[in-house]
Amino acid sequence: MKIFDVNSLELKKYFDFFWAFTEKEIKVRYKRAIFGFLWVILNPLLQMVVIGIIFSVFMKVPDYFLLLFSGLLPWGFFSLSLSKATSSFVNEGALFKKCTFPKELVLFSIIFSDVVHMIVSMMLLFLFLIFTGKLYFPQILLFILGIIWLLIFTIGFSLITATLQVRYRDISFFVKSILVFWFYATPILYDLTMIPKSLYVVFLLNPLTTIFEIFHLAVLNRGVIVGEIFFVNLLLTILIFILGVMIFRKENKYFVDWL
Amino acid sequence: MLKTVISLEKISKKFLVHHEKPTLIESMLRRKTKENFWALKNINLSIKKGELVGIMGANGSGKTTLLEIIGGIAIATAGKLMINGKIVSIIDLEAGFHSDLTGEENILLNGLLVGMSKKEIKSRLKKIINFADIGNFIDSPFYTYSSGMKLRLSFSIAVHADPDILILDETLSIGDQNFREKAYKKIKEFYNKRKTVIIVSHEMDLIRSACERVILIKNGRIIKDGEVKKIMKLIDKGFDL
Repeated sequence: MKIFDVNSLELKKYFDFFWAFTEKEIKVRYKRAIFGFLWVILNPLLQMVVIGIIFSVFMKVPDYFLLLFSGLLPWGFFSLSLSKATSSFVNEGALFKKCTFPKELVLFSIIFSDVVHMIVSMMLLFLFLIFTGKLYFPQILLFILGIIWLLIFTIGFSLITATLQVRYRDISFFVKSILVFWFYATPILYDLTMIPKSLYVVFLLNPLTTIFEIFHLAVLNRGVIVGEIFFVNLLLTILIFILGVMIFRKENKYFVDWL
Repeated sequence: MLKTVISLEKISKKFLVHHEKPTLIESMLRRKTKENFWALKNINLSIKKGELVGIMGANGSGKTTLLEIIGGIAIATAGKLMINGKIVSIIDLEAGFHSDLTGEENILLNGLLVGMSKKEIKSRLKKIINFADIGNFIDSPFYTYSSGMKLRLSFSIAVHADPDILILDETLSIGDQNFREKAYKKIKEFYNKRKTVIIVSHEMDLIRSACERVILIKNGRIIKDGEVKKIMKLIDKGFDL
């Protein structure tokens, strides 16, 4: 079964589109910003410093800054991608009014351009790990695994919100408020070892839990993967992805009517 | 017998009328009062290869919806649509462009959308820019363009994509005399190559000189369809559009 409507002959064209859109995304974002790519590194760095200084007063954990950095970068990707992708179909309505083309590419290219940004900003983290001699090969594999999982979850979830946004223009506001709670409900400022086991049930329902614990494990070699949480998180990710694809496939034909 | 390139069978299109931007909260709180609007009702139409067709009708009669369905942009609520060949449409001047990108960057984006490959776009880039003839603006962002410039760029890309079917919605009237003449020449060239062209316009002179077949639309239905001379005679006699 085909997930999206692509056949092998059109695959090259599909990728042409994808690259052109991604290039466009990256170009447009820095068109009017003088510092350009520097912002990619500067933003999370500033955020880390501010949160780090405040929270290191309460949190007596070794390498707290490193813990923060390993979580804040992927979180920055997730929150930015989700909020941008949610309004992507509405914002790029002008493209849909020209002709038919695989509409999901608009969303993919936004998320992918954010992946590129995340990787660029992570260079800093990796440089630090290399200099302090804390970088080991298996960790990188773990990291990549975490990114792939995060990517699948982000695509699935934003397919749902972006499709709904075309019909209900207040979905983007919901997403923004949910993100505020979500930040604290995800192991970013802390890791699971600091949480009493009685609270684990909360983390069952948040697929980001295991993903971020994977990042902690990769960067700090600390953090716990709890069996039940892992499986429920994985199951939820798969369910959300399937739901996203289904709702998008059903609705995308009618987008132009609502734009 | 010429090949039929566009065929519509019992095509209807329904829209939900919304008065404000629809929201989730509203749809949960308020009782659903669905207002339907049928923009097209039971349209049967077939257009052959090489035909130059003009479509006329009052505002809100369904002309643009009809073009959007033929162009594959909107989807019909009911009915069967068959298209043979590559189709390019200029219905909305901003469609397929990004306001922050320059003209040249937009040519790549728009060119891909209208079905050219990257290679084709690169090899035709000079021609496209020359035909559009918007001077230094080709390096400026799209949001700085006047509507005339948008038309020039959009038309130039469309014709250089070498479509089998070209759809133009009222847009040509924005162009100045100079550009219009250039555009008509291109349309005639298309006609000589036995390509199909569909033009929507309120300008009698344009329809009279450019088209050979005219379709009149009123309230979502085709009310007249025939040779340009016959239809024009009807209109001259005071036929209510």
